[in-house]
Amino acid sequence: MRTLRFLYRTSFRFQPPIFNHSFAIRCIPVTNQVQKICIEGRYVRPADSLNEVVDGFGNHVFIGHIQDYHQYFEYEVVGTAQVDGMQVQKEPLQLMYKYPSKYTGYTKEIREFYKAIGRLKGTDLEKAVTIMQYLHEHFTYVSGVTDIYTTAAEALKQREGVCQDYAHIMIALCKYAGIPARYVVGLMIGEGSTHAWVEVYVDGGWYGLDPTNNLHIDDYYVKIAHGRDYDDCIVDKGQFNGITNQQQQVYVRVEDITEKDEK
Amino acid sequence: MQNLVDHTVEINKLLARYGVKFGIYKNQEFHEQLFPFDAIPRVITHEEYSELEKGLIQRVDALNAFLKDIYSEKKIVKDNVVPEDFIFASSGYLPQCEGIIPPKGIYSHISGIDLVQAKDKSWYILEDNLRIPSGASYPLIARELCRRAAPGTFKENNVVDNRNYHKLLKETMDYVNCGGISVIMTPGRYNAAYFEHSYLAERSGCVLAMYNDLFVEKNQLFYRDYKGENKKVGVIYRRISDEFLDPMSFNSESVIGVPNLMDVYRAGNVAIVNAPGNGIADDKGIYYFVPKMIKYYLNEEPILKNAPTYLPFYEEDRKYVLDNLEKLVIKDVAEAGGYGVVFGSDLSKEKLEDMKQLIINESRRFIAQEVIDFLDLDIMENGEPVPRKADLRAFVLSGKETKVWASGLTRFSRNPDSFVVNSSQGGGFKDTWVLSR
Repeated sequence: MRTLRFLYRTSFRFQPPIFNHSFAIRCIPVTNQVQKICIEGRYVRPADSLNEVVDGFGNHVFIGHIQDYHQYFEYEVVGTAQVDGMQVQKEPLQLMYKYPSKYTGYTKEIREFYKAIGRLKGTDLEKAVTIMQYLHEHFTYVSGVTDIYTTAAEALKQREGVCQDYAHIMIALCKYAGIPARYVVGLMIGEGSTHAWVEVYVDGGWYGLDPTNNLHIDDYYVKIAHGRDYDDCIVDKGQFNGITNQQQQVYVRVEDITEKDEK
Repeated sequence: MQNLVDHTVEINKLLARYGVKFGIYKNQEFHEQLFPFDAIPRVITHEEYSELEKGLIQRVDALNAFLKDIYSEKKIVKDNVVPEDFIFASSGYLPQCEGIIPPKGIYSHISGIDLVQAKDKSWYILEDNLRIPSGASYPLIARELCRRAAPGTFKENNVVDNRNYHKLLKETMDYVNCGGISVIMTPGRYNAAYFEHSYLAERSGCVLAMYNDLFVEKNQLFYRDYKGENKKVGVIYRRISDEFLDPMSFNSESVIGVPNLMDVYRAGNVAIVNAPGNGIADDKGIYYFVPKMIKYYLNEEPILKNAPTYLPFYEEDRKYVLDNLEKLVIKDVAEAGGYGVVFGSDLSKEKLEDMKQLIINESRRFIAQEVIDFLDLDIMENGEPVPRKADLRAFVLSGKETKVWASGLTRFSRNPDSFVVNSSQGGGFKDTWVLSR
């Protein structure tokens, strides 16, 4: 068990200014069996109206609207998370996580790659770990070669990509192997932006696995949102009027502030 | 009736003048075309209609119960009546709608149920349309014009007055209104059914709005009127598909939707007619299970029959389909509007083999049906009556009670060899008379 202090901030600059701006931001970690969250501060500005709602996947979302012209937009969330990576998020399975989604279809590439892994042995969790290890060995972390629209199959074809691609491929492979799996967005110690990983459903609960780093999710991760794939967990979505140049700055800091006797 | 037929040309001219048109996208170009009207009506007797009415109400009630179940408890899946593959692998199931119970628990407020009548006079359900079924405005305005052309005809023949559609619509919308004005939302004049959107708004007294007239604030939906004043919206009859409805929940690329509308809806602050996510119940694969749903939810025997349908997903059915493909009609589950329909009898030997392979490889993607021996309806062509294939879209409105509109859209194929009557495939339409005795 560890106590992490996290700060997550994104700011946008629009030049020239924009108006009639609607947004939906998934940036708020939620307490569950693995992490106990204490939010110390959060804001979205400017905003004429701001509401915190829960989406169909159980994620907390800030929604709002800004009518007037503005050239800055910023949101921030600060808090602490008591994380116990040994715990499992127990809950009934939602059947949608058994079936392919937009980014995680069982294409030829996925089926062939799956075959190449060979016979999977052991429990479902062991099988998922085997898939993760094999993927980690046969896929290279390269940024800039894929984008947010890249599907599991497309990324797999070039054998290169980022955490989003690792997660999508692993989800497709796990589901193809009959293990329900979902996409997770969150923060990780040492990462300068949000990170994506995978949860697999085994024996009534969700286990986190990080295929990018070939790791079991431990006390150094803070989960923000989950869904079938990237599309369900987009951290910020916005729509506005105006032809503009948009600059985005993301700042993430996760520190271990565990007291010595706590460890 | 001769009186009416003699006026066919005038009626069609007036329809053109009122802009009763149907838009078609072909090769990514927008073409507007007239929807040809044939003056010989389809006549449904009083007895026939009573039976149809009961059957349609039963069917739509079961479909509404199914939708409520799927987006909440999923009992029908847990009880193995519908295999889970048919729900969760279907593009019609929208996880974004999980856990939302719409105002008054109604999902399909306006259902368009397509039927055909066989030579033996029995009716068969062809498909259910629970998303945004269009077409009610065509018989509505045609009746208006026919009454002008031959005023006495309707009284003499004891035809039920069908000009109450907008009242039914208003009743249905008022029942689920969450406080505020009623809006019909259109994607605009380049939509296939724009005539209908404007006509229904005019008749029902709803405000006709486009995406840029609507916005979300404080988790409420507002309409900004021409004076710049904001009015809270209590019910929105949206004539835009789920995919484009809210770019924050569905297709991010949509610029014709209302951002964060789904959150307002989830909070119970607005009713959406019809509910998002209904596509799961009018999927061609789910069609097979509707008679089972009627038994499951209502504990009743289905009054109206499905066309005999086979699901290649089940081994027994697959075998039958592969052995009898040349006499069956094959439908792609994901397609609509008459697209993706193939008659086995039209296929060459080679194509037949390809189709069989496709069915084996993607067994969930198709359904196969026996070809129904349609009862043809006469249409006038060059002054002579000639028989043509026709179907009927019945409109069922679910508010406080479920009601059937005593009319419907009868579409016919102008091509004597074609079974496909969809207006997007260039067919025509007729008035539909329901007799009061």
